[in-house]
Amino acid sequence: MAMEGESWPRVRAVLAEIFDRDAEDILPETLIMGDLGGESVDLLEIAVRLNADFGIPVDEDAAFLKSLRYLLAESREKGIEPEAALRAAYPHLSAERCATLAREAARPQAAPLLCAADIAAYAAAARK
Amino acid sequence: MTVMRVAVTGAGMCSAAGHSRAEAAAFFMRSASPFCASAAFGVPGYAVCPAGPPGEDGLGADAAAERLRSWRRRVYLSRGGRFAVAAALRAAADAGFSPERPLPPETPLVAALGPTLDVAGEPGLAAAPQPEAGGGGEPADAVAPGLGALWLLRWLPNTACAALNELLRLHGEALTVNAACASATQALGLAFRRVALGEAERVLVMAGDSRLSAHGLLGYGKARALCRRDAATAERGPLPFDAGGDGFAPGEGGAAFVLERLDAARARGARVLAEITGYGATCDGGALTAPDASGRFAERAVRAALAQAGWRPGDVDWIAAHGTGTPLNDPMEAALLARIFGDGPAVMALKSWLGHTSAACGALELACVLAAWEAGRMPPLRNASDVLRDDVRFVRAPGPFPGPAGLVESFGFGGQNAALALRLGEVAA
Repeated sequence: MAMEGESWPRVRAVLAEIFDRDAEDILPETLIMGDLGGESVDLLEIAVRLNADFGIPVDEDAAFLKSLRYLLAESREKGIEPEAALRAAYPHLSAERCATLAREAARPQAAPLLCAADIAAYAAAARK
Repeated sequence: MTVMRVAVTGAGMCSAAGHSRAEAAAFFMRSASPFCASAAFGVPGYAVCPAGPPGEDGLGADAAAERLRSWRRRVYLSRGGRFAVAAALRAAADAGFSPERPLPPETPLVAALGPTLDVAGEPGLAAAPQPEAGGGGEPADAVAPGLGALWLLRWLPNTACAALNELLRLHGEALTVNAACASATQALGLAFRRVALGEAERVLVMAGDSRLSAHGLLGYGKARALCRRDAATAERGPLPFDAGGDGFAPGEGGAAFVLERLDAARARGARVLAEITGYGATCDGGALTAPDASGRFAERAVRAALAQAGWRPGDVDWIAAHGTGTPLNDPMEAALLARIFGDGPAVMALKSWLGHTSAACGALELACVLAAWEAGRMPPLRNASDVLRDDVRFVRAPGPFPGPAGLVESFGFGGQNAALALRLGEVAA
């Protein structure tokens, strides 16, 4: 996952501080829950820090993909194409990322998919 | 009602005296002063007794300290909370519990924690609210952008309980008590009762506090409760039970214990450090800060502990007095000691070595008594040149304990009085 723009180093620094890691340990594909051991309190900390550091309002549902499973279930019920449903809900993510999320989340017992790059993408889009 | 005998089977500490009983025993042999000038903590003019050099965490350097330092949620603990948790990890290990042989998950926890007063240490708290700033999100985000999402946890007294129970995977009743400077002694008393009454086989007790911050010092400085020392005289520290006593010197630290039914301790082959035999607590109900000058309610607490232990005053060998160095506590307490005990027991004033560790003082002083007992040497009063009374046997020079039976006394703001009776060392069946 390539990361460009100034949002990435700042988001990476926030994540490194909150998770008590070296910034070099945080890669774009680093999983917030699986790799960093994130819990709900950490998402709260990230939301408040993004708000303070970037001056952006943080919609936790979108920034942390909290409603990912709900959106996919809803798209199945309504007969909407899953990737399109995700692109509508997460306009900050690329089409490629939305396709990956739709594919991975459909697997049984999929772990939480939120990665560092998703949060950086949210911060970059919100600042525009 | 059957009353169970209660043993202390583990102890841990975190303090200027060190981070183990061996370190504490060596500390009480030192001639160098543990007190330093308060300027490094944000307010000059007082003597303080830090658990480590300014800017360091004071947690020591052992497995418990490393465990806490490597736990990233430590940032949610106040400084006093960290001392309590580190001490509790040590106490559990000292009692023979380990990751392979953990404390039973039903073990209750009783904690004594003081208020967090470190306003300056909370980034973003002092910033003036700017309600006109907008930008969406939570209204609170616009008002104080520098504050973390869960800054409040450092200020909630029960966070240390939640942290320790997460680290040790304990799920018994967790209770945080505050009774001002009698907090730790009352926490020990509550835990003692629970075990004695058969409510729990063992209870973990922990205490921690630090007032070594600008606002902590301002709190007691404004109340005129601290001894005034400049950079040149800070090392002198406070003067407990001395005619020149002019206030207390703040310290910081933590201590923790495993209290256990004696038969359960014996059944698992645990070493017994002491037996708790009695507890008494009262409240003056007379003033928000100063103790009742007659000491009659403090005396009731001491006599209640004696009565529960089944002891007469003449049975008491040693006393770890509250002895703060303030002109309000010390004459009251010395008169109380003379009235109840005469010149029988040897009276120690450990705040002359440790400073006043506030909510943690009774526990830290007990941990230091256990260390001194193992070393066979009572710490003398530091700096007492003109003791308040000749009819009380203050420990003036280091010497052996006259015997194992003694009391820990703690008297706090608000007239909180507590006394714990103990018999040190292995106890007879």
